[in-house]
Amino acid sequence: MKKFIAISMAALMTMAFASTAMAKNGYGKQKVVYHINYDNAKRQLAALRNIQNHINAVGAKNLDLRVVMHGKGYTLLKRANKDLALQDKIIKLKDQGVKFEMCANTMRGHKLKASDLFGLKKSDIVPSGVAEIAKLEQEGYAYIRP
Amino acid sequence: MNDAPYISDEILNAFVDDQLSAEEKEQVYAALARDEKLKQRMCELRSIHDLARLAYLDPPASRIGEYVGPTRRRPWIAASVACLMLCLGLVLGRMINPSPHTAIPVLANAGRNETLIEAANLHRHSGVTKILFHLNSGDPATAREALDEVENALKYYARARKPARIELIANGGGLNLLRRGTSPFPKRIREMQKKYPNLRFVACQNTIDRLRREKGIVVHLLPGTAIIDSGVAQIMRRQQEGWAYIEV
Amino acid sequence: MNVLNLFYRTRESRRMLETSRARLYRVAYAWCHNAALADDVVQETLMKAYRNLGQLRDPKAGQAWLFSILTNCYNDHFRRNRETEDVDEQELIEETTPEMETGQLQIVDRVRKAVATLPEGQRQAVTLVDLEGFSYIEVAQILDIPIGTVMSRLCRARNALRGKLLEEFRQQPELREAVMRRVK
Repeated sequence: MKKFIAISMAALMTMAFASTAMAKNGYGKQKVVYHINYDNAKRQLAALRNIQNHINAVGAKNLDLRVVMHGKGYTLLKRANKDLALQDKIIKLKDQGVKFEMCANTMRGHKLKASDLFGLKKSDIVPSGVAEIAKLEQEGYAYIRP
Repeated sequence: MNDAPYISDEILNAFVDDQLSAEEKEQVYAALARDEKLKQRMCELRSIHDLARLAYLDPPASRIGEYVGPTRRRPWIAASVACLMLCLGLVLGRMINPSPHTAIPVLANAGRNETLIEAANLHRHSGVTKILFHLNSGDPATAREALDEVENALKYYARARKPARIELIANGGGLNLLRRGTSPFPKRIREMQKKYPNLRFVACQNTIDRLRREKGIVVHLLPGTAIIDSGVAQIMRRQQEGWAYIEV
Repeated sequence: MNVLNLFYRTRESRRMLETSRARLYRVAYAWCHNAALADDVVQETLMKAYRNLGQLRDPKAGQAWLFSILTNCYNDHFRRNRETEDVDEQELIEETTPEMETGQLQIVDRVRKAVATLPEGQRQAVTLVDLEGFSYIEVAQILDIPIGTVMSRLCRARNALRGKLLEEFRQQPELREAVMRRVK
C-alpha cells in the first residue's frame, strides 16, 4: 500500500515540478501589474523609472507588464498631454511592450475624455481599475505599487 | 416529608438536554410532580432550547456558491486518484509559491469530485473574486479614498452579479480609521457593514500593541471589526490563498 | 493488503466532511452572525480537517473532532485582546436580510438578537447544545473547557435568553402565542 502511494506521488510530483519550473525560471513570461492611484508627479516619474529598470533586468520579451491607473493616477496621462518629456518616456515604454490601462469609473468620475489623456485608445479602457487589478492578480500577475 | 433534593439550575438544564443518569432523572421527575414553579421553569428552559434551535434552522445563505455533489463513477479509481491529487495539491501549496495556473490543470483532471478539489485548492478557483485592500496611512483623505474604492468595488461586483469578498486591513497609521474616537467615518463604516455582508474590516494586533507600548494609547475598535495577529502576515496568508492585493 | 480498507475509511470520512458543511455553517453563523465570515471559517475548517483526516481514528468521534477544529479556526479569526476591549465590542453587527422586514420572521430575529448579546463563551456553549445536540462532555472537548464550565455557561446563557425573550413576550403577548404555537 505504502509503495503504491509513494510511487504515484513521486510521479505526480515530478509532473508538478516540471510545470512550475516553466512559469518561474524565466523560461516563461513574468507577469506584473503596476498600480498607480496617486497624484504626486515625482512619484509617478519614479514609477516609470522603476518600470524601465524592471524591463532592463528581465528583458522586454520576458515581461508582460501592465500599468493600471485609477483614482488620482489619471493625472499621469493628463500631465503627459502637456509635457513632452513625459510623453517620450511613455512612448518608449509602450514600444517595449508595456500596456497602459485606464479605469472607466475614474474617467466618468472626473469627467475625462480619452483626448484628455495622452495616448489613450479605447482598447486601453477597463470598466473598473480595481476589478482589473484583481482579475490580473488572480491570473498570476504580481502586484506592485511603486 | 420535605427533604426533596434541591434542583439546581444546572441539573434542570441537564435534564432538558437529556444529560442526566436514570437515577438523577427520577429525582427530577419526582420534584417536578411536587413543584409547580419548578415545572414552569423547566418549560421555559425547554422553550428557550427550542427557540434557539428554530432561530438557526435557516441561516442566511452564504454568498459563496453551492458545492456540486460528487458524481460516483468507478468510485475505487476516482477515490484513489482524488486522494493522490489531494496530497499533490497540499504538497504544491506548502512547498512552492505557485501561480494559480500550475495547480489547476493537474487538479482539474482529478475526476469530478469538486468538493475535494475545492478543499485542496484553497479557494483559488471557486469563482469568487477576493480582494484585500491595505490601508496604512492615517491621512483622512486617503482613508476616504479607501472607503470609496472598497464601495465601488462592492457595487461593481454586485451589479455584475459576480460573487466577491472584500477585506480592508488597516495597520500602522491606517488603524485610525477603525478606532473609536479617531475614525473620520464611523457612521459610514457602520452603514457599509450593514449593507455588505461580504465586506470585512480587519485591524492589526501588532499596531494595537505598539500604540499601547509606545504611546500609552488604549485602542477601542469600531464594533464589528475583526482583529488579526499581524497585518503583514495576514496579507501574505491571503495572497497565498489566492486573494488579490491592492494598496490604497 | 489494506488498500481497499484505507480508501473505504477515507471515503467514509470524506462523506462525513461533505455532509457536515451545512451544519458547521449553521453553528459558525450563530456565533458571528456574518455570512461571509462564517463561510470563511467553515472553509478553513474543512481544509484543516481534510489535511488531518489521518488523525481521526474513531469515526464516531468525528463530529466533536470536526467542531473542535471549527472552534479553533473561529477563535483564530477573532483573536481578542481582552484588555483593550469593552463589553460593547462584543456586540455583533446584525445583518439586515429582506426576511427581517416581514413580521413572519420576527421571532427568529428576536431570538438571534438575544443570542448576539450573549458573551462569546456562553453563545458558543448554548449553540453547540441547542443546534447540534452535543452532549456536555462533547462540548467540553470541543471548547476545551471543564465540563463544570460548560454547565455554568449554559445556565447563564439560557437565563439571559429567558430574561430577554420573556421581557419581549410580556410586552407583546401575541408574540408569545405565536412562539408557543410554533414550538409545539
